[in-house]
Amino acid sequence: MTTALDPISSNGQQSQNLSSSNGFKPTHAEEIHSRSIYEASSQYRHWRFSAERLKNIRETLNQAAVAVIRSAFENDEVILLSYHLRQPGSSQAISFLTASEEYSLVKHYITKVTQLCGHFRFSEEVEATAVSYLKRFYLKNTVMDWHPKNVMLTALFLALKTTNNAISLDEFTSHIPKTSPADVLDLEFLVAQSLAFEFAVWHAHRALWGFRLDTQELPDAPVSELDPIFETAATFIRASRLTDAELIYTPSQIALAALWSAAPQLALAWASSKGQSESLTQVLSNIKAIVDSEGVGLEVETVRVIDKRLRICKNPEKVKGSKAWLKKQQEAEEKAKIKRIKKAEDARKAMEDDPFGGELLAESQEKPATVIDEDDDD
Amino acid sequence: MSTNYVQMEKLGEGTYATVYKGRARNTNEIVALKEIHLDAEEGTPSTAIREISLMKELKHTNIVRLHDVIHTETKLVLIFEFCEQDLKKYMDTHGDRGALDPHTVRSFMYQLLKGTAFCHENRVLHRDLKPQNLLINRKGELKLGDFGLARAFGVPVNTFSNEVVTLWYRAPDVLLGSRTYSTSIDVWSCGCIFAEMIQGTPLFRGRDNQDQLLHIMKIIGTPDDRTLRKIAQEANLPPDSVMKPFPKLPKVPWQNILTKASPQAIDLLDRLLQFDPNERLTAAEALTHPYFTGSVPGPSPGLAYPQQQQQQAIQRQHHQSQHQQQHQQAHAAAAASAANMLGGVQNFNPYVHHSSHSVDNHAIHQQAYAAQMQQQMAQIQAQQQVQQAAQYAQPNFNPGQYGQGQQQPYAYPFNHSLR
Repeated sequence: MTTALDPISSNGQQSQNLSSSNGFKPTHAEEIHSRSIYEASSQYRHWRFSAERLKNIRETLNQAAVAVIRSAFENDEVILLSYHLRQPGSSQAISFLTASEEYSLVKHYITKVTQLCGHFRFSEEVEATAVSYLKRFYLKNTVMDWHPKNVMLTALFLALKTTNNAISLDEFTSHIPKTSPADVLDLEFLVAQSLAFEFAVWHAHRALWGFRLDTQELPDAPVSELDPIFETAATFIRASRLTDAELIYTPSQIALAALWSAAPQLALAWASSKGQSESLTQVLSNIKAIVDSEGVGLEVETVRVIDKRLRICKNPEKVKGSKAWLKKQQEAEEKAKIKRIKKAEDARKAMEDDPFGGELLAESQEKPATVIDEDDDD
Repeated sequence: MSTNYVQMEKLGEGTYATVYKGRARNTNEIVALKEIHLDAEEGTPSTAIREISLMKELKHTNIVRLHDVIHTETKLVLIFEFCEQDLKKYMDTHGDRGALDPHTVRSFMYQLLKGTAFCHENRVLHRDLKPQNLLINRKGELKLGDFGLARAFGVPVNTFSNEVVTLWYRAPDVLLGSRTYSTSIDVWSCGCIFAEMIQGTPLFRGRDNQDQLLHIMKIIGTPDDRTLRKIAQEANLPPDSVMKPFPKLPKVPWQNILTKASPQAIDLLDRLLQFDPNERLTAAEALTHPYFTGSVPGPSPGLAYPQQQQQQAIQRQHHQSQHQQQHQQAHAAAAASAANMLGGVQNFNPYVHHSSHSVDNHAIHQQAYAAQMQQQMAQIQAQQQVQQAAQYAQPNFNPGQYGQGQQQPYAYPFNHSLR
């Protein structure tokens, strides 16, 4: 299993897979089965990237958003006027957020997730899951369309559901100032869809728990020191949540980096007991470098400035009541209407021209499809 | 409905979803469309979210595949692979008064255990295994369906609801009130289903909790006080609660109940239906039981394509034996490295009680079975090929679904426990 700790190659895929390189060609299903469970997970398959790829995704998203919003501004004189930009074309004067500024704002709201979880006494599982959702969401969306304040709430509410900790929406929102149930629910579909409905997330803190159980069985384990060591390691993992580490490395890599940063000897002793090679330390120090440099919250003032600018450059099509928003709504309404008409038409046609032939249709009319399961023994 | 799928007849309805048969516009593939009713108050029901979350991760031949999730303005639709029948209907239509022939039983049992083992490996408890939730497709593949009640167990949670698993398939420890159950409850259900396939009727048919326990004890006997006390202790139940005056019933030999079953089938059944959850085999262990030895318990391709059967059977046999070796190696390797780097913590989660069995024990079991299996393989192989060829030659499955045949609109069992 040495591949487990290999850094991923730049295209975001695992560079090799030992378990399938033995010359035996398994069927698709068996292939999945014979791989490790983690490698079959949606996290491994869809939510791991190289650092370069992450940067690229964010910049591309940002540029596309700026282009769209710029043209929306040009088409909405009311907004232009309200910002004292009197002539069309003067949207050039608006300073849009850069990709890294967007990311800073998201990072700020990660700390809000932590605060809320502390307030509600939600588990670490809920917190870590909500943070992952928030990060993943902004790999598909821009803060100029969807403000992280609301997305954060929806991500947290979804995380409560997916980790079996659901509470009622009322109970949730009534404890959060200036928040209505609609603020959370309006975005639920959008967030779920942006996550590709892949809700299961593997976390470093759980991998760390595994190391905890493992290391106490090592020969010469410093049993009395384990508590403080793992407390330090847990702090490292909490800091890692503010970084991109989980989008680049596996949970167990991050957890081992946490242990390594708390007690290098112990981490290496564990690694050698599992036959992991010395090339490990490169990965571990890379993770540590990321967490050391990025794993701290931002100055509130920095965030405030960004947020202030966001108020001006956010997408008017997403601002309820704006001309651009109304126009977009109208377009969507018309589209839906066309769709409804087409659907009605299709349904009518289908009645005349059943894809399974007239005979079958006649038959199915005789025998209406009913619930067959009569012997419910629940 | 999404424009990508044509909605066809309704297959079932429950409180949280309605299931329709559907057809993909571009491929004409038949699918099952599970429409989730959205709750105006709480948004997407957490049962649905949970089911999606698990199904997105569980990709296996013996687990019904979630192809897609679609949402429109007003509803959420899960697109599942379609299977023609559930096991209950299959037994009703193909069985001899419900009882299936030994080869079909073994094939289905193997697939049931494989799907279950895969769930457990992925730290998922199904919690509602019963014939109505097992789907059979035209190729004779069996698939676990309806994960509406399932849940991940890797999270340190030691109390589950004890309102799980339809009464007849419910493990005695759950009936006694345990909420700390784990994978062993699914294994119990597998055992009940095994017996039901052999004899054609459900094994334990209780009216309520207490009656169900009595039905179980009437057959597998009343456990001694020590066992009951141990179960209570492990389940954190007050000892008094399980020490009710149960009648002291003797164990009835399985041969008296399942007269048609082979000695190996009975041995496997007995190891699955242990009163004490710790004594039950795991699903993975059960797969290496001599009952499955040397034969080809995969899907029976003959059910769908009788004319090719013999050649396929032989090919598969060859393939399978290769496979089993591979698998044993893989299992041994997995057991040897308890701290599988990729696998996270599932191997040493203290909340999963059967992990208190030492890992070595498990590996030894595996090896023992493997050795037995190899011995028996050669003997059985020859005679099996002949038997199988005969069996597959019976065109006992009507592949007329796409034709003009008299195809009944089979119930898709999702409706069964939609809550």
